[in-house]
Amino acid sequence: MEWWYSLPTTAQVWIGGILKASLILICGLLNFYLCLMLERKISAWIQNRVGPWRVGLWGWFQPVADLIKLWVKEYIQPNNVDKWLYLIAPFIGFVSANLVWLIVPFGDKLIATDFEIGIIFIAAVTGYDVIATFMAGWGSNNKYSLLGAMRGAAQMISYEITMVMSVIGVVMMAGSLRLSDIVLAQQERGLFGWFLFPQIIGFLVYLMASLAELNRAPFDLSEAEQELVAGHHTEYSGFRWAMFMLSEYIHLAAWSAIAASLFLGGWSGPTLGQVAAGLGNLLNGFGAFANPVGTAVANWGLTVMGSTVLNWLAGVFWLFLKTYFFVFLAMWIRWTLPRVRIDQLMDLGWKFLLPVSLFNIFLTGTLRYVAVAFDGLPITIGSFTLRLLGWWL
Amino acid sequence: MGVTNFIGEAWRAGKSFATGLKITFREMMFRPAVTVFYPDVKDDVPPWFRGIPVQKTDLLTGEYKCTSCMQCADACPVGVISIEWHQDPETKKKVSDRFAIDMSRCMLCNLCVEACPFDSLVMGMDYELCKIEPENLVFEFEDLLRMGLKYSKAEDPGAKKKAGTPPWVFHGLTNATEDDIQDVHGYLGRPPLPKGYVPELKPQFQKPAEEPAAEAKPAAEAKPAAEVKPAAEAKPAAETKPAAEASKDGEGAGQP
Repeated sequence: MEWWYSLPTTAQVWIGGILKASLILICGLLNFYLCLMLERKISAWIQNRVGPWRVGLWGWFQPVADLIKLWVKEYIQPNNVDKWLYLIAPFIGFVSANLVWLIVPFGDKLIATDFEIGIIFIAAVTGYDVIATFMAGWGSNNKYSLLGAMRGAAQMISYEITMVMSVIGVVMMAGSLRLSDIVLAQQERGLFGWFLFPQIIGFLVYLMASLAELNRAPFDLSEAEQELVAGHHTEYSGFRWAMFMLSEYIHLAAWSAIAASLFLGGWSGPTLGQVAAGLGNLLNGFGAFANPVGTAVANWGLTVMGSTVLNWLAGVFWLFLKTYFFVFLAMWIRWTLPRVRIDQLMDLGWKFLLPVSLFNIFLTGTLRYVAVAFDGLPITIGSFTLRLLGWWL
Repeated sequence: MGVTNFIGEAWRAGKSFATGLKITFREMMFRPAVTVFYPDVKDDVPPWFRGIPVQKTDLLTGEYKCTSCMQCADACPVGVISIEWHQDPETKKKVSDRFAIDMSRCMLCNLCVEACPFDSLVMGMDYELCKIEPENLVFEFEDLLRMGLKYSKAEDPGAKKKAGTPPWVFHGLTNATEDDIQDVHGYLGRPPLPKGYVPELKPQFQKPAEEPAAEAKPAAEAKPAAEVKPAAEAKPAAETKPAAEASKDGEGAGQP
């Protein structure tokens, strides 16, 4: 690392930034690939089909074929479109989807930019997604596109509030907006100290709100195929359309990663060294019948436990496992539920989810106040309740 | 909306949501796919399937059953059946010159099959009718006869016509092939012969005509009774069948 620190600061910033950006982009594209394939496979399994099958083993190269096909396809640009908006909209959506990945912590200090305002940053870059949708809808000069974009904008704006409100509970418990702090706060709470359990209300609200935010079924009103041809990407073809798909799936994966960081402890999980040490302990019978094999495994585990790279790998592994749990959940829900009407959507957002998330904030605050106020007092009556409360918060 | 109602609604919604997820999970995990890998595996079509209309052949005599009566061409709502014929000056019978179906416009309506008074047409099971050149979509008589072979059977010439299920209701797949044609005088697609006329044998059967005729009798007796009966009452053309053909017919699949 000496050579790195010998570089001038400007060079460090630029080279590091370009490297991080490339890694984030590659990560986003890999996620797109996996999500697209999973979407097609899961929809097929739910509908008793087999899904893509011909290209590659079990059809796993189908997205490659699809992307090549989209790449070489003609770029149709209808007459009377607002040219500038029409051309730039897909790329703005793509950028906003990738920006979310910037603040996802993959491991201890393995994070592109550790913003102090992580949650607010997510809300901010999602605003770009609304703008991209609306630019596409307005620029296409098509009534279906415009209708879809209007719906999408209305939906995203109303659910954005709910989404942020549902996360506030987590922020109150962690005491920080920074995502890495939130993950560390969950680690400090011990085994399965995930915010999922104390913040179950916030978690459910977040889940619904983020589905709406992502424009996924059952809230995919902005691209409701049966009503509006394809919503805001009706008039797009070729790779510009693929850009919309890219941003949709990268966004999905990014949201899932954020949800995993907020509620499922992010990258925290047993590392390889910890697993090996535990296994060695088990082989040693926890010291009852210490044997060379168990001791060797345990020692190896203790040696490896300090390895930064292996811990990072474990962090990435756990984060992606949790992320793909959410991705799977989103797809499962998508292929299960029918689309809601626009008025039902607004009812759900404003009349149900928002009050519930506000109630969640109130509940979290009250319980936290009580827990802090009674902390350390020599109370015997009801101490079990208080201990439970203390664990809970 | 009171708070109780609010919670009740949420509970109900959550319950129905969980039910839906449970159902899709079951479908996803425990139900096998119903997909048929089409070009590799072909699913069976039902017996009432209507593919291309094809011409049947009498496997015993090798004669086609079409008499150029024009009933099907008249019945066809889209007029895709074109039949040309001339009158044989000696027998005063119609002789078919051309029978063709333009499958580019055929709508598979089954009306020609219903109109056919001689049970000659049948809706086949063939549904892969794509051609690169549109002209090839006109199926000529030979093509139709070849495709119709697997629905053809050796007709019992002495059988009385029974009133019952109309022959056009089911196509009765027999899976006959060109090998099952017992005709030794000509090839598929020969017009019906006048009664009593014994045509020349095909060149490959001509020389050992004496010996096979002697062997044909025991071979015919060895066959099951159901098959002997049509053979015995068959036209003279079928009786002079060589042994090679006869023994093959005994093993031939799809003989009714």
